[in-house]
Amino acid sequence: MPSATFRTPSVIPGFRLAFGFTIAYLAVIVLIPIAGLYVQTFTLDWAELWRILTDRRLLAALQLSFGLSLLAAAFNVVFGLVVAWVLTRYSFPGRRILDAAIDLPFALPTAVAGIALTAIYAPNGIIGQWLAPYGIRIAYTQAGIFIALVFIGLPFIVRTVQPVLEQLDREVEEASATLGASRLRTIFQVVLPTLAPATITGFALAFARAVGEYGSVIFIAGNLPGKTEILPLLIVIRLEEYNYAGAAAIAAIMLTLSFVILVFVNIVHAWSQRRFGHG
Amino acid sequence: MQLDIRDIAKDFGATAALHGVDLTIRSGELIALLGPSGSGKTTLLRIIAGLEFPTRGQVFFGPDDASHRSVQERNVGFVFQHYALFRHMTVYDNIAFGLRVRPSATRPGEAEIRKKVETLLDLVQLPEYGKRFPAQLSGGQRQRIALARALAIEPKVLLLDEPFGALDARVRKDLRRWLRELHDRTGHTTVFVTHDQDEAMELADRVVVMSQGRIEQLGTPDDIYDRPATPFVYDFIGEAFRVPVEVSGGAVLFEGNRLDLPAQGVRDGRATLFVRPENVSLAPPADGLLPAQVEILRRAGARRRAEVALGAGAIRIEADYGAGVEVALKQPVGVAIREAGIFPAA
Repeated sequence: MPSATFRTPSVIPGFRLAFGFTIAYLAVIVLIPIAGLYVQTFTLDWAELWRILTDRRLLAALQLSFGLSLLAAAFNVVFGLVVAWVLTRYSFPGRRILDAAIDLPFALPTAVAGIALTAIYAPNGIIGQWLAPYGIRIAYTQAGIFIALVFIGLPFIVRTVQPVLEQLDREVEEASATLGASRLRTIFQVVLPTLAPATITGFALAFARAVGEYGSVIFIAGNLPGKTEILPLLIVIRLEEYNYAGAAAIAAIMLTLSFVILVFVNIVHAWSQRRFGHG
Repeated sequence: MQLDIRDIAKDFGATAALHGVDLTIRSGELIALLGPSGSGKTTLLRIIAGLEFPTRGQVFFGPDDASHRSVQERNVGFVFQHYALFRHMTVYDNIAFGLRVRPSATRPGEAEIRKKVETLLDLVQLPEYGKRFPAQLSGGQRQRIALARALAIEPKVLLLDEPFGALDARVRKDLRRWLRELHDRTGHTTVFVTHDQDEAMELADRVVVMSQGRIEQLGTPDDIYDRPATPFVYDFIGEAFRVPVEVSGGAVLFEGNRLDLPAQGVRDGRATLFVRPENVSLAPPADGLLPAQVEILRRAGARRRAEVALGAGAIRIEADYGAGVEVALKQPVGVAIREAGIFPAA
């Protein structure tokens, strides 16, 4: 019986039903559309595919999307940790409201967020007008894209780290202090290592979201080909040209890259859990 | 290192956790802070460690005023109830932590650290456990590693907060004996907090009984048990039953019967007698004995125990009695109280 090898006896029956459902569901929702994407891509011949993939405009968008997404996720790791720390460790008036506000980037329609950010950072916007005299432009530049990606990624870090922080035993920090460790050392050698697995998960989620983000970015990006044009936008442009195979090819390369990066992040996560997760 | 605690008070908001506590702990002594929860014992321990700062008062380590020193500067070994081991570090790294975080001028080399850690692992009798993670140890083993980690920094004093609280009864007993032996060998001035009177009595040289932020009594386990200083200590340590009495002209009267007990300087008026079961004798009714009736008989381990209703029957106390004493349920019996504490009625 092959099923006996991965099926442990349980008080709740229904393994076959549940497993079958899971596979069928994943197939319909995830696997078949993705497979279709690759099938569509390979309707192109190799020379055509190679031409699309080495297109300068695509390469620039690829670099922009993945580079800025990684950067934004990394930025969110640092400041998301600080926000999570403040929200769990201190009680102050308005803490609950601030806590609820963290989820706003989840809830807001991304286009609304994009328009709001553009309005604020445009050269005549609330923040933009103070930066414009110094020649600093945020909206319609890569900096604007970065800000939009940071905005939508923040909740991922905060919400994955927060529960772990709440469970963190204060005694452990006190033990570190009684042993003579300074506050910084306690943070870097005692607190942060315990947060590592959750932080890596949050990083992966924020990154994945940023790579695929469309709505909030296109308004603030300015969308200059080769400069501020993100990958999802390039796909939309190809679709509007009725170039379905071309769009699918870009999507396929994007998907493959994302998959490779997420697998790598998962390996790091598994390692960190082994290394730091003993408890 | 002698510890002097002078007039330490601590308020948490509007509630006072400690009201002006004075205490001197002699060098090399093993002291128990004993009390119910909320008595301020843990707060006092944390103030000594520097994990908490007092509202008023001073802490002296030997001749030095340590009141304003940070916890890092105090060099105390602190053992937490739930061990507080660093779970992402091996046992070895846990014990070495306190040495590795020293400033480079006083930090020993890795070879020296290795020697020290191995010595400590031997001391806590877990020599082969250096490579394990805390999750792979039992509760008792974790607590011993926590102790080794605290000792690694060569602390001036060793402070333990309910060190055996999270362990099961057998491990607790073994660890208790082991800690006493360890203390006798290493000679650290040691203060531990407990709410378990057996633990305090068995382990400590002197016991500090605390209640509601005050010290009720400070003394050897014998002092505490045999000569409780306050009604609270009588109730909290061992068993005691309250008997309302009248003091008149130096005589102690219960419902008009004169008891053969000194009034111990208690002034005339109403008073309360605290009677321990082992200080009560039962005999056939006779002159000079308190008339009583046997209500319940039971066996408590090695002892025979009788619950008797005194005089008119409203007051019940318990008495231990030997095999030679004839007692029967619902029968009259004579009671003699050989020894008791007496305090003016509140």
